[in-house]
Amino acid sequence: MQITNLYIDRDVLDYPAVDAIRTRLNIPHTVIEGPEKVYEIVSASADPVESGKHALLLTKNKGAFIRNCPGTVKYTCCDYTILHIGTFCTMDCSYCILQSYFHPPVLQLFVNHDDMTASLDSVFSQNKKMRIGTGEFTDSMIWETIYPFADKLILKFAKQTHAILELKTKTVNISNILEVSHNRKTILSWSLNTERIIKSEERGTSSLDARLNAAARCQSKGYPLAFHFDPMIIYPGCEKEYQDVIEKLFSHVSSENIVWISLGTFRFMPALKAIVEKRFEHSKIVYGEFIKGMDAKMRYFKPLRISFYQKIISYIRLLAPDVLIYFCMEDTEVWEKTIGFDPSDYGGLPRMLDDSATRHCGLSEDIN
Amino acid sequence: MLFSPQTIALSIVDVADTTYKISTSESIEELLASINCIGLLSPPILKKNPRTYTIISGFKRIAACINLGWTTIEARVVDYKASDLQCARIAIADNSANRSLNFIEQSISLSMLLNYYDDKEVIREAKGLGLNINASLLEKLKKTAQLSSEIKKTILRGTISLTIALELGKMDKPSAMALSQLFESLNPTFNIQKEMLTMVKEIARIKDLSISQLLNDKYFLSIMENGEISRNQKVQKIRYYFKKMRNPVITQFEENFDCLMQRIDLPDEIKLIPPDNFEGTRYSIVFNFQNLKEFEFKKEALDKLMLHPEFIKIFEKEIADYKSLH
Repeated sequence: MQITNLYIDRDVLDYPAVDAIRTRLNIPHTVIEGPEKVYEIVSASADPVESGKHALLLTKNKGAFIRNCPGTVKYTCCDYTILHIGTFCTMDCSYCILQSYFHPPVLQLFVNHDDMTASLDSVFSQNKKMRIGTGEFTDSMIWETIYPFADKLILKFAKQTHAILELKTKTVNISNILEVSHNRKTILSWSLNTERIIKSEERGTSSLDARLNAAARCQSKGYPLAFHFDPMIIYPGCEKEYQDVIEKLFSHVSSENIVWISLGTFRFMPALKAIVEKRFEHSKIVYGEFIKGMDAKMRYFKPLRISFYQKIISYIRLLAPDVLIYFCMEDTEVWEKTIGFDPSDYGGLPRMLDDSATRHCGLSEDIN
Repeated sequence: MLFSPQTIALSIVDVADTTYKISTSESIEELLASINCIGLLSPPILKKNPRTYTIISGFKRIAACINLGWTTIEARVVDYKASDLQCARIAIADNSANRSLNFIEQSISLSMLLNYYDDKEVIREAKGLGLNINASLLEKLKKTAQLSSEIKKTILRGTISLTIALELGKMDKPSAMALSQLFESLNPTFNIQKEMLTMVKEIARIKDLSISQLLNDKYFLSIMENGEISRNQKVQKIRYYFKKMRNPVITQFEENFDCLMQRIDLPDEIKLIPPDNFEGTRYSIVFNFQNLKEFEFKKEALDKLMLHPEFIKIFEKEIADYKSLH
């Protein structure tokens, strides 16, 4: 989606990133005194979600760059750490939680990168194993066409041995990072879905083939990889189509180079339903067999999820018996009835993921 | 605006011209009795045309007078130079001064004003004419004005709420009519109407059918046409039918659970409560007792329950039950 409105917070006018972005986008910009003005403009539009994707605000991250993932205690969380580089996305997925998460959703890039670097230094100095990702509130790689800085992050992580960076994306914006000395401390990861879902629900994203080809190129440059089947949508014939994706995945990359594969079926806050119905007239994804989960999100009926996961896991296991599969926000019962164990038997999910990162990325075992 | 009181021959009053008609009520029985008893207390308001008179306010009064065989009527006559807007304002003010207008009448009144004013002005103008309308109501009334006359009638009869009517207004006409007839025929509560409407809309989306096609289904029609069950029983059957179509796996799962519970046949006053929506893992057993003897009896029943093969199935077969459905 094209950015048509550029807003620059007066506080960041003379930051180096701002000049570079202005030159690259080459569109008129408006200097504002604070983000509220942009929120007002976007909120007042007929479709704030759509408007928010066309309006880029360059501003400061006035809060914490490093945050904990907002999981809930009701379901097993991976204990991921977020590097908060920006918000929202230029792509347009019907199921995207960000449509109802921000009020209003606005494309923001935080350009106070010195503060971000200082935050990372502080984290690295703790010598504590961490999995840090930028893909929670935005797509990690959309910014590469606006202001490429993934290479700097990769280099930063390459110089330490306790934390890994996960760059999660649906794009193929990898040209700027292929030759970077990553020291295997950055995991390139892609969200995957069936071709049908990509076509109907993921507007403006790269095709499945393109994503897998990009993953293969990154693998050829030594990057460790990860994949996220999330959100998986249950529809007639979906099992076969997800099986096709899994087969395609392993025909492109080696299972031995995959640090983890996450699975998660579609779940959403009830407020998202009306947004999807309004913005994606042809989408049927909100008409699945949902119940209200223990975290107040709508989720597929549990026996349905379990049966579906059992099949998906069997397809993966057939081709990659040893790859680490985990669930994003499922409970012990789902784990036990599908994967066959409770993560707490292995020290908990965070520990399992840390161990896999250690093996694949050569993290130091030293923990202070 | 000056009104001149005049005596007008009813034969030259154009009763077919309903340009300024706001009232939705057609009944003149009470008015007939009143006029017959004490005469016409409030003269209608007419607009003079070159050869006829247009009614601005007082359609029912004039109908009653004609019905009583009157040939002339005392009226307040507005000059022919009065604009359409002036006449509309008089019609609205006169109607709203005498009674509170229903939704349809409010929407008719606003439609008249919206020809001349924008939304903000219309709210202000309506207030001056006795209608209290805010921006949110204005939007609803504008949509109400677009509804078909059949749906408007069901609102007036109190069969459906305005919210439901506006939802029907978004549908294709056969679908809206089919649902309107369903509600008219079964007269479910507004909450159940809302539930049915949501279900039907979603089932239609899932199955790529129109709502009218869905409501033409043989099984659905057999419920509707079944003369041996009450209206309430029909409502329950139809709700279950919709639920089963909307959530087949969940419904089947719940049915299986109920079957297991029946086979377990717990004594009265012992209840096994599954987790909400079967999402959590915590089940509860609730039982009541009045004395130690009763407690012992219930405890024995619970001990036996532990060994009941169907009880174990509830936990062990939770997923397997689903597998057989899928």
